[in-house]
Amino acid sequence: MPLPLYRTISEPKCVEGNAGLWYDKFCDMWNDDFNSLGDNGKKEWIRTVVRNVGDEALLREIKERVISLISNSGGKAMLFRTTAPFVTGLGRSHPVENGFAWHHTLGVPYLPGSSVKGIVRAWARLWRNLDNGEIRRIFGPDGAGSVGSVIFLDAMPVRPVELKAEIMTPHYGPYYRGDKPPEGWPADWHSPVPIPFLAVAEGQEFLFGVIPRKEATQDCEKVIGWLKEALQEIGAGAKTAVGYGRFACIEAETPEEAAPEPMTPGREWLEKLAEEMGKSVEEIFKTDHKMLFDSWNKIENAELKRAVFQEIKRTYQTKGWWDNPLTNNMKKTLSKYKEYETKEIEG
Amino acid sequence: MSERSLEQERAKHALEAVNSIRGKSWAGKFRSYVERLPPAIVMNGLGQAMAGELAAAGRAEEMSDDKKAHNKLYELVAGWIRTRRIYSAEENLMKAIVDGDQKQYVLAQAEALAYLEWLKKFSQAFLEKDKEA
Repeated sequence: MPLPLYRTISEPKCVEGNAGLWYDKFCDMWNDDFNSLGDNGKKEWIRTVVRNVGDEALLREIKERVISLISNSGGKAMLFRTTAPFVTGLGRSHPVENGFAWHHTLGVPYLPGSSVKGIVRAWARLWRNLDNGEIRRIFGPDGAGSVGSVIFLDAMPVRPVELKAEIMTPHYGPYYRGDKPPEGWPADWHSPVPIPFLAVAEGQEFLFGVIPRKEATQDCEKVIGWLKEALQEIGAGAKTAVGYGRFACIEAETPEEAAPEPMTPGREWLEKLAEEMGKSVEEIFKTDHKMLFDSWNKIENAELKRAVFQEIKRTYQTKGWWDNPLTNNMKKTLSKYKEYETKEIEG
Repeated sequence: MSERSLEQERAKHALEAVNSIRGKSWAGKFRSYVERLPPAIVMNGLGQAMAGELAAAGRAEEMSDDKKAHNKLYELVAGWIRTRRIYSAEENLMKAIVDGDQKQYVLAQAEALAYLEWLKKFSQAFLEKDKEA
């Protein structure tokens, strides 16, 4: 299928690297006349990035840097997990119509600081009915010209992000487009049009942060509280009216707690296993869960076995898979852990 | 009088185009699509962005205002690139792009962006804003 680009020596392939660059610039689902992606082109192009995107080591490094920036400037950080699909950057132009906000250098979805600020300001103003003076002090006066007391950082994922394809199906295209009646009436003689678009899956973690401009540490605390409420209640990104973009707070990361996680014996065991297999711990949990179970089951030292179990459970819980396994197979594996838990730990 | 500079040529082409669009029912839409095209080119590349315009223009029959505006924009940018003779013997911009090499592509993209500066400026000056946008 044709790619609207100059002649290249070899077919461009997306193996590793920046998924955003790939998604935005290399769409080759066009028909020969370059005037349509065809019936399946959009869906298929979206499918090329429906997977985990982002480099684990790079994202970890960014997380550490952001957290040290926040702690050195007396700000507040908070880790959130998506509880619904999340879309950002729908309005950007893209061959499949709806764009996506990719972080330029990291190739992962992110929420710009300006969006975060907008959400919190709207929450404070419209839902909390706060005093106007306070809102102006924190967010800056209406219109341009002056700054507020709190700086909002981009919300960044802290590990590779799972993406998924979603579909919206407007039934009244001509009405939304503002066509003149009678064609523009929102009536049921119009046909529904399924439009595929790219979204962040549920259960993905993002780090939000605010830092004080001068010494507004107290304002930061207020803001992070509002942020927590706003992300839960009104959501972020697009399509929040139909439930998209909701986040639940996982933990308030005060800088001390956020220092690199201490190595527990359980964690150590897992990383060693991953290294032996030449995979990331991440992958093992997702695809090699049966092998993980078997290796764990073979541990003879009861104390270590228990420690590793705690670590495994914690990881599954962070991912949200402990209660909602991804596949039936994973469910089976998890039920064996749960058996062990009732027998050995609770019983 | 000395000859016109390249920048003046671009401005002349753009001004004539905008003058011919003044008063048309789709002038407002055209203006907003002109404003959106340069970022699309930067984000997706010239080829993707122009194919996007073609897709939005749809087929020639039953041209709505929407489609007329997209079609005109595509024609203008393609026309200007043709004037600049970046691609030899070019009758169809998309075909020229895929047959051309990287150097030509980079040049064509830069030309399109430089031309759109003027087209945007004159559209904002002389065309009314789209009421819905």
